[in-house]
Amino acid sequence: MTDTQANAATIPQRWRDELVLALRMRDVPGPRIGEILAEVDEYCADSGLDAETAFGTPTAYAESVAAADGRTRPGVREDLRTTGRTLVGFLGLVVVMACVVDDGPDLAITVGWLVGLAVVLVGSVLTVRTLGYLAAEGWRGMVGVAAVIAATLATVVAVGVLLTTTVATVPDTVAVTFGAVLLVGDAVVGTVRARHRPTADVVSAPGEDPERVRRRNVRADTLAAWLLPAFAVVGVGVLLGMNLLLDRLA
Amino acid sequence: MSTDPWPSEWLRGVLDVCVLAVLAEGATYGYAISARLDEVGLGAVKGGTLYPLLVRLEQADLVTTQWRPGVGGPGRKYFALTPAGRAELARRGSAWRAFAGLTVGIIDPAAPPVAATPAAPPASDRLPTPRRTAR
Repeated sequence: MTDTQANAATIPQRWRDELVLALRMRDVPGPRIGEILAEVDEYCADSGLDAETAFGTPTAYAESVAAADGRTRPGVREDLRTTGRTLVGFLGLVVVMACVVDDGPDLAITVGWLVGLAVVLVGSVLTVRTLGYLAAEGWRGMVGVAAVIAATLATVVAVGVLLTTTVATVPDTVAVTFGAVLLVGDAVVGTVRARHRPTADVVSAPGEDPERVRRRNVRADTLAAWLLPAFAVVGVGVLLGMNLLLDRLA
Repeated sequence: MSTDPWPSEWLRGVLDVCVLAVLAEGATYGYAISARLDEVGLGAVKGGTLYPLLVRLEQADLVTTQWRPGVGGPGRKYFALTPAGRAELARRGSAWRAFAGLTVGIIDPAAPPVAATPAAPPASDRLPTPRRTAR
């Protein structure tokens, strides 16, 4: 956990996380989020009330306080841009893993691949927006989000199985190189973004040194940026190992 | 403390001027504002209502804020009235007195008329007289 740990003692972690998420989705800057958390912390400590009783649901309070701040939730275009950026590394991972799983020397790009990619993009945006609207609904909200994710995955699998017409054939070496470039490129961009993260985007409590919080967040974000490449390396290693084992057993 | 608040649609119209009136007594923090409003009979105004209102007052330059350090935490956020806030309190206070007098005159024509005064009254008269007591 990297943000405003001082507040965690009195604000329930789940309420706090949902409030931070809802405020982030409305583009409220980090220091302002830290201040809002500190206000909740202060008021609850003084009044003896819990956060839900004093401030209502996190989503409703975020809506109210962000509206007072003159901020609204970003539109679909912004969500598409953000989600599209995060899908670059995911696409790299899928391409690399597909080449390893594929028996032949070439990777066949099918219509199902292309449609599936579009479905993943739309499904991711839907998931983010569903999360924003249903976060206050407790377990029912989580069921809603899970339903959107399940529907997205089911659609991706269905189009992958049904739409098998080959659009292009790419040699495995080219595809693996392309996938690796996407994976590493996304990780490098993620690292650069983490290192250049403006102090204004850091959630810090009033009185807390934003620079110290920023350094902590940069380390966490850099680690997160390299998770997909690490996952690819481990995944490829496991798959190649299993293939080797199966060959010897055969 | 009162437990039976006034209708929310009434509070919506009067809460900002009442908060300004509390702040006219001196700089103070969120829960103290809420407790003072409850003490004078307005009911318990929750943080979820109070802080967004304070944000709007701050953005309108009617109040200023300052974090004062506390022991082992981020401390307290104090709100203070600006000169523009005092002017707004005088203007809105005068308008509310005229409106309240008008309303009383309509509801109870036999009641003595309440005159609207253009200037802000002394701080001790700015808050409504407590009408509700603890139950």
